[in-house]
Amino acid sequence: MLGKHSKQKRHRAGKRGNKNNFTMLNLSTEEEAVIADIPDEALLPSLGIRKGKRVKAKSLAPFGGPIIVAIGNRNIAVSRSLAEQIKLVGDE
Amino acid sequence: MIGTPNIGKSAIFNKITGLNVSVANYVGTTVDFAKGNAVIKNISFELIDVPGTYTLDATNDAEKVAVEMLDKKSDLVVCVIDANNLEAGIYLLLQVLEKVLPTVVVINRVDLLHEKGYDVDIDVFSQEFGVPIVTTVAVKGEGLEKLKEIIYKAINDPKKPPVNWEKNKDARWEKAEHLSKKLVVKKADIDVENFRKRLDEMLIKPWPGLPLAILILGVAFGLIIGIGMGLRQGVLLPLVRGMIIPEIIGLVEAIFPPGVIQNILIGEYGFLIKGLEWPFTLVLPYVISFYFVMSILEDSGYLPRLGCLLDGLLHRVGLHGSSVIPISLGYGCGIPAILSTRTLGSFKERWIVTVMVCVSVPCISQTGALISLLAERSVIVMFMVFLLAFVAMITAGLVTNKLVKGSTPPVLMEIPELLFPSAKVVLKKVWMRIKRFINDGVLPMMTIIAIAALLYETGIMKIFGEFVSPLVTGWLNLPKEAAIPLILGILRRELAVAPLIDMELTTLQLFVGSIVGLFYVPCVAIIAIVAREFGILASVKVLVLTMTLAFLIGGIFAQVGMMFF
Repeated sequence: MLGKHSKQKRHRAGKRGNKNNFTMLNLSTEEEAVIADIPDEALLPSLGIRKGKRVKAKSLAPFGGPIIVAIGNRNIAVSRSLAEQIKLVGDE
Repeated sequence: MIGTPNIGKSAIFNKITGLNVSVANYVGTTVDFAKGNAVIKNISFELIDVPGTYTLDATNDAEKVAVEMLDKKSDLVVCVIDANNLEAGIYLLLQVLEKVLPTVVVINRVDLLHEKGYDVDIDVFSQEFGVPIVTTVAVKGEGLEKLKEIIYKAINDPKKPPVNWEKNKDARWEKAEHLSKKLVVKKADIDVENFRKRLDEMLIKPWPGLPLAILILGVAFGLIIGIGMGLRQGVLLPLVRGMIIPEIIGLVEAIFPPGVIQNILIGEYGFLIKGLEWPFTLVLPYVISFYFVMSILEDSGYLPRLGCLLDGLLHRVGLHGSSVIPISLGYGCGIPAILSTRTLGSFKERWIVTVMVCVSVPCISQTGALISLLAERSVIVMFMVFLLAFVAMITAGLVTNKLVKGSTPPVLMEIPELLFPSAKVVLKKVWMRIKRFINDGVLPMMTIIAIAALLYETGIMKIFGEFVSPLVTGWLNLPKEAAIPLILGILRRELAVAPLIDMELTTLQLFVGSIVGLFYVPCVAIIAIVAREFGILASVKVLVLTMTLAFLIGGIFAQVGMMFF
């Protein structure tokens, strides 16, 4: 419960506060956004996680597991630590 | 033959070479390259199936294999692309074409794209790259004749592809993205909100995904035991014990007079009796039921989803979600399980999974023997043994995680599309497993039983029995004959359990015997694989660890149990 609560808080802070802090981990289920910046990880581009791509959060796995995002028609599981480094920009 | 992961390269390879390498619906089924000879019309050639790779940047071992293969100057590259993910496929194709080798392109799994109302414009594709292109549905065999034709043409008249783009990452991605949009054309409006998609959403969300996971695993476990027991009791026992063995006994008695030779053939450990009964009635039923269930799980793409759900928990034992796959394979046989750890990111994870599999994941042969030994006496004891195995597996993971340095790399993986496995493919896989079991399992098992029969009848076994009797009778509280499974069990895992079936044991002795068999040395073949993959020292560690655990835990249960019963 605590984890969920703090996530919600971060979420709000991220979206309304400094826009640069809006990351993939802040997405709530079914929410969409566009990738602004990615960390240097060789596999990311091949999995479709590149600048300018639109992502949609599908699910956040329990017990600290990965976030599952849809990019085009692919589903990708990204660990929370990596998702936190993937910067997004909102739609509005 | 090269392509991105999990798009059916091995299925194409099997269809062209007539071989049978493993195929499944998750990333990393092929961990090493497979070679096979193929003949098309009057030319014969060697086809090499390279492990799936997203790029030629060689960021992991599987990719390095792929790059080395291409650098060896093949005569022809068959580049396989997934119709459902042209972008990643085109990126790889661009990198392949930059090697300026004659290339043909296969766009596989077009059926899944058609289902969504789209198609690939292969004429434009072919013009764009100046290479021959064919679309296929490999698992159904569609388009493969055409593929053979273009391979034939390309070998006879090799053409080097034109390369007219900037050879850097950003330019390639831009081109790949642009082309993938241009080449996929909409054919019809189809509502993609289908049942499969809704099911998929349910399976990956914690609710109702977690309860569904428990349900699915429960049903899988039930099916394996139920179908296995049904086959054993209903089909194989009546056939082998009721019809074949009496014939053999009659025949042997007519030829050989009573004595040592007759005993070796049909006596207590007679290899014509046990050598048929054990493989065909103890193990085969569970080989069939296990691989039937496992093939469905593999081909549906459920295992990676389960991996995601359990990822957080697995992190506590130093693993991540992808290790669900090698561990599940281990319940079939430890060898493919240990080999498939190659796709895991770090040495640490590979070693943790290997220790778990060696210590407490019984292979299907041993599971079959355990079920037959226990279920007919007490279902509760059977569940206790499997529960203990599970607890031991988690403990092994926790301890190894503490002992081995290194961190677990973050999860980053593609979740394959959820598919309904085709009955034909599942049945074919089960049939392949039966054949493999008869070739690689039954014959060694019969040979070992024959040697055991010889040792037993000549009295050598008895001498060994006396020698280890303080351990077996004193510490484990088992009868002297229980030394036999301890010898045979080194060679094959199920033989550490099977001989107990014919001994008159109390329920406590059955439990102790099962536990010793479970934790005991995994078979020689696994020890050899561990030595090959991790070095001799690692295999010695596994030997000492399993030996110690078996006698320690078995003995503790025997001694404590005796106080109560």
